Amino acid sequence: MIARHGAAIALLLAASAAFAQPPEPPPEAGEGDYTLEQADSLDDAEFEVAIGAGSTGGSQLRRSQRVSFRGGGARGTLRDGDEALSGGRVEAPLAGGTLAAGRLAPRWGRGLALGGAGEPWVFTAEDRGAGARYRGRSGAGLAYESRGASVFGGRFAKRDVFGTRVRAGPGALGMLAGGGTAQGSVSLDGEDRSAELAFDPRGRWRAEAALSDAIGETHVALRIRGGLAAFRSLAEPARAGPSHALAASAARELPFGTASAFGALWAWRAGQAGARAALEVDARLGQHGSFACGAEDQHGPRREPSPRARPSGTRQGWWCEWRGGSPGARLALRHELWGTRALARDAVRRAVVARADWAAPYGGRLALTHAVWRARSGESLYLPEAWSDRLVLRASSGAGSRTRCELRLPLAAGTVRLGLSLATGGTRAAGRRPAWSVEWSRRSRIATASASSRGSVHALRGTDGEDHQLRVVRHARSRQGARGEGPEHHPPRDR
Amino acid sequence: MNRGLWALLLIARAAGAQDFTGASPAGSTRVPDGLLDRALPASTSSFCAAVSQTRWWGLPGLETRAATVSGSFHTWRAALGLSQTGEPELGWTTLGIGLGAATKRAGAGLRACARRDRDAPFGLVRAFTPGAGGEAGAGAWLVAADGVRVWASAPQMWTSGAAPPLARALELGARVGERNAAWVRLLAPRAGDDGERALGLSLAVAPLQAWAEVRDTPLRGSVGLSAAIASLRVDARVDAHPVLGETVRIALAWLRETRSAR
Repeated sequence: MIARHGAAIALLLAASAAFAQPPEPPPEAGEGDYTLEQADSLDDAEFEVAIGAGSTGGSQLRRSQRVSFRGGGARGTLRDGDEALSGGRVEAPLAGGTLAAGRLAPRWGRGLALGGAGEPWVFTAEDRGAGARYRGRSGAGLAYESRGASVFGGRFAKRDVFGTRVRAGPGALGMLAGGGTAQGSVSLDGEDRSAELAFDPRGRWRAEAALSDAIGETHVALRIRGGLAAFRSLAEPARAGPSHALAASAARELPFGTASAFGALWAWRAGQAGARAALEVDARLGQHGSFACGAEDQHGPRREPSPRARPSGTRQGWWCEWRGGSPGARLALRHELWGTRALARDAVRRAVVARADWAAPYGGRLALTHAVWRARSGESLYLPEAWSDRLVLRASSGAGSRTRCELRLPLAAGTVRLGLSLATGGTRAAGRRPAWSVEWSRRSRIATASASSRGSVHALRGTDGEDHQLRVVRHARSRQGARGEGPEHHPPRDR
Repeated sequence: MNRGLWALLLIARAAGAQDFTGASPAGSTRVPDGLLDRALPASTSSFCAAVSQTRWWGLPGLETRAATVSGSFHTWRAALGLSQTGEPELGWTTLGIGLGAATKRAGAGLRACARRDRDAPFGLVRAFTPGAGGEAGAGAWLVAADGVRVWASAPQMWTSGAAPPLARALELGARVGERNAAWVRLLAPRAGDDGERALGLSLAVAPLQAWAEVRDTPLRGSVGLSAAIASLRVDARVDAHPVLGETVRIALAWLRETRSAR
């Protein structure tokens, strides 16, 4: 057994991570589409206003407003009329620290007690903690954070939760209370080493350590977790993740591009273990082009299954993606195939996506994305759809297609974005009339002193988009029930 | 809809092509039917008038006749076509239009067509009445490297009214070379199938060009021969299917390239 484990660790260390994997809906997400809010990109002393309208394919008109600001240490975003991202968050400096109100998404240490990722192979949640890529929505309330301490109170997972944490150097000690119980967290956060022990009064605990380093020119990272399956975060029980996990990743720059791989082993409970390993090569083609391809093998449930769930089967998949063109006209193509047998035979999911975008007159941009998929009964997948301030993961199943056309133009000292979506086949939006959206936004600088050194304040931003926004297909999840918490919680599904 | 028409539709589906598909190989930048059939405009500025006839699977009563005309103005491209398929009591008439823009390095286009049964009176106005079937799609291509062309074509992004005889999914392709060329194509899955993959080769000995393509599910192939003399171009193509038999296409085109677009 030791030899087998040793071989597995060696295998994982030899592999490296598919860092370019697009995000997936978190475990607490229910059925249907899921929306990730982009972290704001405002510079200091800037604010942005946006008004919009749209339909989701029916006759009902939906209006929305958004205000974002940043300056003098304060920052915030307020939304109204937005079905997926309503509410907001405001931060302001106070007594040497920062006071925050509204949507909260804190993270402590490795996330065992607060702000975990949930997925066994993810090292750090992308929507939790300061500096996260996406703005999370784990709870709502008040929080105060200073250099040496933090405290918060709010509504998390349908219960009132209060927490306090004290930091000294790399060490931190935290306490959560809510629902008639409490949890403790002891963590160490170094530059490339971190560890956390979380526990509760009933003796349930989990511990996790992560480290990253370079072996020669290869960057490696390792994460190991252990503990009791019964331990769950008070604030985010759905993100407990597996009680035992081992994950490793590595990436190396090669003359033609980047090679990366990752591997993970995990166990939800006895008899319900899983594994995942992938290899990925991303090659640069000229100044603007690239070609990436990868292969992946999955065993066992990716999401926490119910105790009576049948064992999940094997999935092998491969994908390739090409991007080319110039800033004036670009084309991106992607094909992804998953099967139940070796080399992705006996296909259960297949998706083909094309995206073209062109520079439009007056500094605008026109983009057209067309995706076609086919998933076997019981399988589903998500198609990312990048908006100006969010990433919408469209749940899709069966066979169908989705087309989205976007036009972005400067208008009235701001930017107007027109979107038109059409879906056919296996999706909730299928059969409806085309969905459309219109949004006008303007970003302005509060102080003009430094404006000249930063270019036009009305320039179109994000013209090129992030890489993942063109990574048009993400992994799918199969329909297998799992245990959740709270009456409103939809069982997380295995993907 | 009677059984004969159903059989016709099934056959058309297996054919993998529809009203305005000519006899040219896939992926060329100069195919006269590119804009109208796949929304892929030609890279060169030209004027073209073409007629084609397709006999599906050797059935005398199942033929498609098409006439198309296309032109260009600077980088803009336009095409218009009319086709008829089948006997008067079973077939349909299709009116198609394509618009696009292209340079030597990239191109994009839109196509739309309206389809109406032949037993109903056809006219420009009737072609767009609720009883007609309509579809619209888009395509784009670009030169990824010298001699390498990549394209994406979705001829049926939107459909309305009577269902088209063939469900045409997104097609991705890459071609290396122009006259002596090799290409691969990937067709996205449709309801009821798992997509399609194709591999083709083309060899040119002026003024002739011969090509062949193999496709999977089921394994089948196509061969074609083209001849160009001055502005006149003749294309012939034979598709072989293990169950349905052979489909023969003949196309005659008068093509005049006006000047190179930049």
